[in-house]
Amino acid sequence: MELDQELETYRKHLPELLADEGKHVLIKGDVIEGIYESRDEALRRGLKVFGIVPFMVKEIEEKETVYFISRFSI
Amino acid sequence: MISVLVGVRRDLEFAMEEAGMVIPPRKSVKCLIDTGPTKTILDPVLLQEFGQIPTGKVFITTPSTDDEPLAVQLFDVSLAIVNDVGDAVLDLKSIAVIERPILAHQGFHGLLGMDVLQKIRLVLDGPAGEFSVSG
Repeated sequence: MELDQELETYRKHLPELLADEGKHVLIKGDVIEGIYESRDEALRRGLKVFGIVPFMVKEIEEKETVYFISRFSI
Repeated sequence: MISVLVGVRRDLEFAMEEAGMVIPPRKSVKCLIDTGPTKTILDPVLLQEFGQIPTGKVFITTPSTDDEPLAVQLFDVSLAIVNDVGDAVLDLKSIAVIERPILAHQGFHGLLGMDVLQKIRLVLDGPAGEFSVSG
């Protein structure tokens, strides 16, 4: 699935990223491009640097948020 | 069920314009109001119509997943809610939504979660059989 590598990069670097917990990290492949105050800012930067291709913006969290979806049966 | 306009988010729209790409118009789709999920969910078929690219990953659990959360993709889109007379009661230039595939065959293209619902007022008058949305 797309962005698997980016998720792996995030997990690998999470210990050092936690210094900026609550901010948003921009990742493409195994490269951490930068850390931004808002998701929108990171998205704009991603489009500028990488173009119209998949990249990952993720909020830096010590404990990963898990969203409960009540209606789904997967 | 409520009508929602879904489209390309503003910054992606600019990037597509610069690249000489055709920007697909916003599309009106039916979404189910659901106070359960904290994030809004849209069908991947709809997202593909807009040439959307994934912008993130989060984890979900559902009644049928085991203890292990499931990784799903996020897409950032524009989303607007329009009332019966055509006025926008909410117009979000960019919002991150979860992509899940099992919605269209149920007659709707998405679930409006609390991330959207907390920005509007919903009034249900059960005895009168009336429902209204306002900003």
